[in-house]
Amino acid sequence: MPEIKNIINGCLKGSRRDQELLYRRYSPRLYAVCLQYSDNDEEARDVLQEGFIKIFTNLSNFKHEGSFEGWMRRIIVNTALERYRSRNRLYMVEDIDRIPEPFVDPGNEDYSGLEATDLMDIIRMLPPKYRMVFNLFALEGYSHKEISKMINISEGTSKSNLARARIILQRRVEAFTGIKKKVLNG
Amino acid sequence: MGETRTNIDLVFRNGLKNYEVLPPPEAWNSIRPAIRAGQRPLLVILRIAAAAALLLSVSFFAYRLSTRVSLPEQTELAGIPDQAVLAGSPDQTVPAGSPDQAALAGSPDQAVLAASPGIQSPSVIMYPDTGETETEENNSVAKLIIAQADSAVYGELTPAAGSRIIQPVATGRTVAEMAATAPYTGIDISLQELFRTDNEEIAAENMKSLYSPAVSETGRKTGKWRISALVSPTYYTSFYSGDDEFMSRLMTDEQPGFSYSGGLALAYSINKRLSVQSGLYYSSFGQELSGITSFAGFQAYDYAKGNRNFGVMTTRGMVYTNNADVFLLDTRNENRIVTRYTRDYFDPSKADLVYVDNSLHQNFSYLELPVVLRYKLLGRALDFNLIGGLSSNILINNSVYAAIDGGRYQVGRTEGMSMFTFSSSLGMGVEYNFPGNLSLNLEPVFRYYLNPFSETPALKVHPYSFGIFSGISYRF
Repeated sequence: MPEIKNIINGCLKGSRRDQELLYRRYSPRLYAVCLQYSDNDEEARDVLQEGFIKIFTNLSNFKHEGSFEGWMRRIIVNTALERYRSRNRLYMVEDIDRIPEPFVDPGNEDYSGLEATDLMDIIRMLPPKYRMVFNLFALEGYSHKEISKMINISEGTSKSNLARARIILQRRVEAFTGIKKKVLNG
Repeated sequence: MGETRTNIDLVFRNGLKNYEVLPPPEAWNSIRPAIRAGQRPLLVILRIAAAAALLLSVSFFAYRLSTRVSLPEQTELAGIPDQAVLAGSPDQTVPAGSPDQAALAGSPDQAVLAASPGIQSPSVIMYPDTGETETEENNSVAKLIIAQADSAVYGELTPAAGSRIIQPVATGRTVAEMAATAPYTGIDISLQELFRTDNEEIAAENMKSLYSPAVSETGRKTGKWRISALVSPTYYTSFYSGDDEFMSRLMTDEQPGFSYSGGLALAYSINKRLSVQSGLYYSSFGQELSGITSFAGFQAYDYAKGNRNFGVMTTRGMVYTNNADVFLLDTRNENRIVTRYTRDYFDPSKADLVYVDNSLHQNFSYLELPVVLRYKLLGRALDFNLIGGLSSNILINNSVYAAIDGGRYQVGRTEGMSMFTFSSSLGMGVEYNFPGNLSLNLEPVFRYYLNPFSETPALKVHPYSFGIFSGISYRF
């Protein structure tokens, strides 16, 4: 399997073969990220296409100093955020800096029965504004301050959206697990 | 509660860490053509320019080489082997300038070359069949003339004369005279050396003929004046000569936008090689300020009297809004925007504002008055010119806008711009001459701006540009 550095150099020289090689190698993982941020498959495909075009056109800016996959992932996430921002031009986010968090039993639930496809389905059921914050905070590791700038919301809104997302996810995971157990146990 | 948060976050983080889904096959089909179309324009331009320069250089040297290397071949093609030209033996030579020489030459005309006092001829070769004579040193001249005249001058000769094709030289006519009767006059400039002679009159005449506009090889008419219409896509960029970190950061957030230049030029030929050109050009260029997000609908929340609610620092100067309806937010570098409407004071996410664009576009238009010197390196069907000059540029338009649905949402203008700027240019021009008065031009030109665009002393950003001008010229 060719080294990624060689593939990148080939892409920079305009090699069609290397471009396709790079796409084939990374598109499955990046498409999963697109699905995570999109409402439907069609939108995810658009984000993937737009993101990959940016990746190829900005490839010369990659300095080989960090993870190439991480660099591509950031481009894909930013592309998804741009689409989200442009789609949500009218911001009427309620000020819910301090919402009461319902009690959720921490317990020691075993979620090992959940597969990645299940988790993806659950995450895509979230309302976009909660999903965005949860993805950026829990999966990408951004702070609330960064998230607030990325999607033009206040830090308080980011925190409250995250809290709501967690509650919804917790309930759905439990429900999912319960249903699965029932199905498996007859 | 904290445990729950961690737990649910980890469930998703770990569960989706290596998750992969094959994208639909048509996705790559849409990406592939877009990559091709979206290749970096500068890279493409530079590649084209480099390829053109390489091609022209190779063609030029190949042509020069062929004019030298092909001489013997052409001699053979003319049906005269070298031996024929050099026919004779040392026995048949007589000292130059001897009385016998003129007699051997056969006629006064034919004797011109051999007996001319301008020719340093150590010896004279006699052609047994015609009785012509030629000096050894001037065999090269003879060969040259044979080569040049193989298809043209030879036709003029009468077989009865039996003088073979050496006759044009032997007739004592100047090159101009020969050229005037010959359709082909592609005598190379380097051949000056071969026409070395102490006869200044002939030498001057021959030299004159080489550059005579009346015997232009393409049959084009050459006039003193030339008017051209030129247009060029231009790539603008700049470098910062200071060491301020903030300025460097500003530059990284600014990307060059689409730029072009075009206009009319009038040139006057001072001599065959040098011409001076001036004209009037219009150039438009811009840059994109990434990360400055704009929203519309702010007027409903703005109770201030003025419109200049926001200032954005750029390397070209300060952008001030003149549209009271716009709200700006810096999503990358918060220090760029100067406003009283900070996020603490106003949160656009809670207001009924309409998102417009995530970057601003600065656009500038200039009228340019260039004075350019053009030096012709080689004048043939393809002329190669070296171009250099100065240009004074007048700022005539300055606007800042955000893009929305293919249109422009006016935001403001850049303050502190220099009204006049001066630039120097250097380039290489290729001109293809059509028969008649028209010619086609291609001129890659590099331009450097001598003074910064901004009047602010701290903003010592010097722009430079690269463009490939193409157009049509008319000589009169």
